Amino acid sequence: MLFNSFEFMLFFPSVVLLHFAVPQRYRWVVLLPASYGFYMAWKPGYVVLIWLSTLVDYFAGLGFGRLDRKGLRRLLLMGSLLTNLGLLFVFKYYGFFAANLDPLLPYLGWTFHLPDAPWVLPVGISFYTFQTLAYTIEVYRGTQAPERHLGRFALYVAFFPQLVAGPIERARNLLPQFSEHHGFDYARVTEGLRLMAWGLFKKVVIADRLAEVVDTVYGNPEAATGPAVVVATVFYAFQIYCDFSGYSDIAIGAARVLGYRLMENFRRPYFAISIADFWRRWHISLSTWFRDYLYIPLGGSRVTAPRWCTNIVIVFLLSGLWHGANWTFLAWGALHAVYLLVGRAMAPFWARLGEGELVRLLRGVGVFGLVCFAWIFFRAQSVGDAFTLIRALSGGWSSPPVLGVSAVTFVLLAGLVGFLLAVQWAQTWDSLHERFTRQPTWVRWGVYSAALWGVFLLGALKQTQFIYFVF
Amino acid sequence: MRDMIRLAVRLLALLGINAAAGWGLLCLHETSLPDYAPWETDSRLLIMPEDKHLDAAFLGSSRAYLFSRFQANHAITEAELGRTVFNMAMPSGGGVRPARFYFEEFLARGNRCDVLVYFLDPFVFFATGPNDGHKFVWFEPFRLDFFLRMARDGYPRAQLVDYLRSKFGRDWLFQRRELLVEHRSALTPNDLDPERIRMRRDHLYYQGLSDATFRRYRREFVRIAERCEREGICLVVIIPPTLLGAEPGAKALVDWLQEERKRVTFGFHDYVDAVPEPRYFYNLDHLNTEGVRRFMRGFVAPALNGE
Repeated sequence: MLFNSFEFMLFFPSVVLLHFAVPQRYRWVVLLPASYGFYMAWKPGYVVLIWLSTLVDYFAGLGFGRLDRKGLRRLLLMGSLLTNLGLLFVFKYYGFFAANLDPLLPYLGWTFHLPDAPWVLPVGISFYTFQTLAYTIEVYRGTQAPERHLGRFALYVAFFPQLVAGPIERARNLLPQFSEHHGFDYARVTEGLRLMAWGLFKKVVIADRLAEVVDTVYGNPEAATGPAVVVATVFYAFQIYCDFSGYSDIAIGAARVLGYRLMENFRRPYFAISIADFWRRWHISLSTWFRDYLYIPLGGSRVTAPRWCTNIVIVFLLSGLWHGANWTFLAWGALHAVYLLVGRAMAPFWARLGEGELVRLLRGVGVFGLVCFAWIFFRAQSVGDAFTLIRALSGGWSSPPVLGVSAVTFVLLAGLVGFLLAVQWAQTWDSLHERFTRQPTWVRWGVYSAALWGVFLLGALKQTQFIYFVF
Repeated sequence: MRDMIRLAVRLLALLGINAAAGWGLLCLHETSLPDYAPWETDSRLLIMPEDKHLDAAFLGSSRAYLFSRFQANHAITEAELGRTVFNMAMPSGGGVRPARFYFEEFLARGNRCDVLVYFLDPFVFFATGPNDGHKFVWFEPFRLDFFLRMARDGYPRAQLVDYLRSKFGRDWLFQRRELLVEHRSALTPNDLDPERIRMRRDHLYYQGLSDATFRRYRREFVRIAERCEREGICLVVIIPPTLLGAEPGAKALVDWLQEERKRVTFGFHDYVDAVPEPRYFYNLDHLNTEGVRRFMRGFVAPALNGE
């Protein structure tokens, strides 16, 4: 079920009402079927994968709690990792590997062909797999107590606000909340609703509108000119940000309405002044996952320089691969690894320049440019298309770009991007939300009304899927 | 519980205030709309009469819409047929589903007609665009009863939203009379390029020839035919002329119509090749003003007069 669908407009209030109507200890009984129903609205059969993942990690967790022998614990951990990553490989990466390995088989003397993958990618598999893996690893390490209540653990895996596109929650944050009492707190509920409204605005008004230009240019790379690629790529940067952070805002807001607090997933990433800073602000739940469960176990930065470089490359390549089974994502990850390594090498240079406003601005613009350049690979259908678009950057500057929208629409889209930046800029020194709640009723209702009309009149209300659903 | 009620009341109040503001704007705008003639607007609801008895009403796509959308064409049509006509045909490939909807609205307004002429194009049975996604909602005024009937009828939600939303758009709010007088330009034999004909056919049959789609929209036609029978209205189905030759879906449609005539009473005339001269067309499948005269005089009038 999509957050921007009519079905969700009926589903969510019903769940909220039921949730607050039953005592806290039985609320999982409301939320768990609701979460499965939310997922099954897309493709019912794939809920079995969630059940499998849930059961494997639930019993693995219990096993870690009972077993003392290191070897057995490690065996159990391997079993959980193999099951979860195996499911991920089969359903997400098999097709990619088969397509790339198949042409090589004759060179190995093999005469058979790898069969095509007959299944579609299960929505959210990367998210819930990483979430359950985080739980298993934490319990294995002894930093998280195993959850004995199967219902609550299943809810941790399938909690509908963040099931299909995150944030990838940690057990220590979410699991205890399922046992705490959450009353209907007016201030918290309205805060959640405001966040949901802002997320919906970002998705249907900004992201889906910008997609019109992005799809036009990226859909026909051969015809693209330099200005068109620049405009479409900058728009894509904001499209993917508004799409994904919009989803996260709705997820966090929906959870907050129900009384649960999810982790922050975005912190104004396009205001970053270095690539490392960007990754502290972009998809925080994933970058911290890779930090905690891959980068640090690999040795982190407490290793030799060559080893550290290798660690960075591994983390970013896998991060790219996490986004999708395509060479474009690997190229995107590799580019970010290069950015980070070069950025680290240039650290003394930046330090000499100081922290003045102008320096920060220039660095911010530079980082945004680099991030946009990497988005070309992320958005293009193939690496070949990406290079076609990059080559197109040098030509066509004497004529206006063909963007597939009217001049009025283009100005509107640029205005929406400007509006988003203005809102985020205003947040740099103060919480806009707190300032907003201090305003008189007529001001707040005026803003709510403007948002309502904005979504109604400007929104692309065709219920387009969120970009990160397919990751 | 008190907080829940408080929140619900406030949300409803917010929605209510905005709905009232929107409604007020619509009503205010409605008072500024002029009295349109059929050749001045694409809207049919704005010109649809109430409690009137007409000699004939038309349904169809753009190939029939032009019979009234041009002032001269409408005059020619009424003169050649010797009947008063209300034309509900739609531009942009108006399909069977919106046609049925307009016809029901026509009757719901207390109107009557002796004969309903449905200028039926085969392609409208083979695509969802002219039916469920037709943009007639963009040029019709907002009428709550019409909206509710659409909702009850199971129109796609996107269409309902578009209907409401388009009333706050620039095109609707700042609309003006769009007078079309006549269409004099004409094709020559050189314009009958097989490649252009093929492209036009492909455009009309962009979803191919799906039997499921055909069956689905056949039901809409049956509802029109049955309603005519119940109301005592004589239904005449005419396939209008084009230069496209037999359309891909034509045979299936004609066969089905012939079969259906055994069950429901309606007249049927296939005039797709009746006007083969390019000079009567302004493009491959739309008659110009002289073409309308030729078609009305030579084919529609005799068909309605039972000749």
